[in-house]
Amino acid sequence: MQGATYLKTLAVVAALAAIGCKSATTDVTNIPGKTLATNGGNGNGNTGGTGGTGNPDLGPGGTGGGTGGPEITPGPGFGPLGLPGEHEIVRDAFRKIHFAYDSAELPPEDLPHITKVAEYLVQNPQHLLEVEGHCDERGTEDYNLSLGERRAQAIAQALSELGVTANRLATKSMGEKMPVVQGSDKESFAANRRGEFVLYVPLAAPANGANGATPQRINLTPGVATP
Amino acid sequence: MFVMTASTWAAGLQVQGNVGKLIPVAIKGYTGEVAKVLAFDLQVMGCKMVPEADASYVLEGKNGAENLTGILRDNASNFGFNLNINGAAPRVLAHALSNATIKAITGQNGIAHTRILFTMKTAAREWEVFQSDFDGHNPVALTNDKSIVQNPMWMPNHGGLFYTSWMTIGGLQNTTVVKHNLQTGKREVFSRYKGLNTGGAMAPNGTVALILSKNKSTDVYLAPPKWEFLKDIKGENLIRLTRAREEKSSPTWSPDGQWLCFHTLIGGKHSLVKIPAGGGQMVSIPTKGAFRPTQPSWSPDGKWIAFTQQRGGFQIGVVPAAGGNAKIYCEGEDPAWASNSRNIIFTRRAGGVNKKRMAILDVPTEQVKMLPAFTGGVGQPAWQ
Repeated sequence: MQGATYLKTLAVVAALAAIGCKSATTDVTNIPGKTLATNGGNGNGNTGGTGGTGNPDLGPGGTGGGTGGPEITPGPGFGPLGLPGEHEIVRDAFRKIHFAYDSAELPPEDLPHITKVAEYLVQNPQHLLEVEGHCDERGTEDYNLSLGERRAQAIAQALSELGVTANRLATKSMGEKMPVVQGSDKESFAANRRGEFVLYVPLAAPANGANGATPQRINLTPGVATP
Repeated sequence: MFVMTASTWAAGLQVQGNVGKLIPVAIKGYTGEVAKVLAFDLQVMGCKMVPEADASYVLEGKNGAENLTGILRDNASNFGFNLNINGAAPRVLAHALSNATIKAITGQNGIAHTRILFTMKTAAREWEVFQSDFDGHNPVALTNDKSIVQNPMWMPNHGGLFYTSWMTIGGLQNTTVVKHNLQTGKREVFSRYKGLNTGGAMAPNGTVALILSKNKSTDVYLAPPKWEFLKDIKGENLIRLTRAREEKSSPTWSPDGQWLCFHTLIGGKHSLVKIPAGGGQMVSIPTKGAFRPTQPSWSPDGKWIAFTQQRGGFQIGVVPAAGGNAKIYCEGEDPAWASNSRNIIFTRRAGGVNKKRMAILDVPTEQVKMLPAFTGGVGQPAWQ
């Protein structure tokens, strides 16, 4: 079962490659799972072998079961009480997503970018991703906390539809507390309404796919630990 | 604590009801801090300081190091009380005298002895929870987490509080609702599911309202009395009150614990709503005349809901608890009622979101008194 889940992600990447990345989400998510498992089982080599994924809801991860290469064992992922093991925290591994005022709608022009993020995660099955939602200061503190969460959820949902399993994704609202720009003008507000990506790279596990291929890292910069 | 002895109490004093006019009061004979405290307290509770000739009531006495006397009479020379208060710091004695004065004049209980919770920015990217007297004096930091913290909320018995902290546990920073016992100082993780954890509004029976996104949308959940997070890591014993993508925020209970009011969006429109504590249909609380209402706060007498309107800036509004015509009072946000259901503490931006100051509104008289500024911007006061 766990293997099948991961195979599904392989197939999604294959499907994306086949139909192109533009507005592919609906097609991707509608493909029945069984077919995907079969397709995925063939393996295409792009993603560095197969492996199990953790239980999408909670708990310890699977221990593999795929056959496409040396076994890799993705960790348990994000749980209610934190992370298993040591991780390097890489902020801004991917560029930010910006939102309209009082909105959590994903800008359509950012879909290709989000697709790239999804591809990266599929290719690096042991990496976990936290999506932070931020707001400008034009809203009450209480409301901005919920709005920031909805922004993060919108991004996480898109990644999930692109094949990233749920337990590898976490959302965190920062409300209005962490503006990138201090200022009370239109430009500052626009810059502060955003989603940010924080990548968690396990220190003890290989960073790349298990077949030795080097997945493309997107603007991966040295991490700064969150406070 | 202080000791108060009265040789006379309300012997024929003309008593004013809960009128919407400032009560003219003169204070005589007090010095320094005590004189300032008396004037501030009485103004907060609906009085104005006037010369003796213009006063409806005169409060006269003397203050020593640990002693305070007070004689209250009205302008027809009827005596209200003759008090001797001692055994505590001057501010404590002065607050006690203010309360006694308000009780004698209006028949209402004062709020000068109460305490507040609030957040304060203490460093770049750091906030802590503070407790202080209602007037902002004697602040004490309750946390030292050097992180973000929001939404401090009293437990109904005021023996503890809940707040939302961005704690790092297990290598992961996440929103965490913390339960903090003020008697023992003990803190525990009350809720830390994946995603958003906030809220922490406790009903009189111990049920705690939470806003969680553990199931992909921010929804309102109830944790039953004595519920424990670590024994319910999947949240199977939580009661889910809503199922909708729209944001929810600021849960506030009716004082009888029968209804939970919160803010959400209905058809894209910011709205105040309520849901029965046992679950059921969401009921709209109309706020006629108000624009983008958020941050509801239910008054302790059950009659009113204060909220923040966002129109240009932010304004404090009040609407009957069942909904109806909203009245907008003054610039400000983050409203919270005092126990007298008459005063509302709130914050006001003084040049940016990080420079918020607290102020107190007296609803019947619409008088606003600013609290002293702190070194850092403050937010989200909660009133005992």
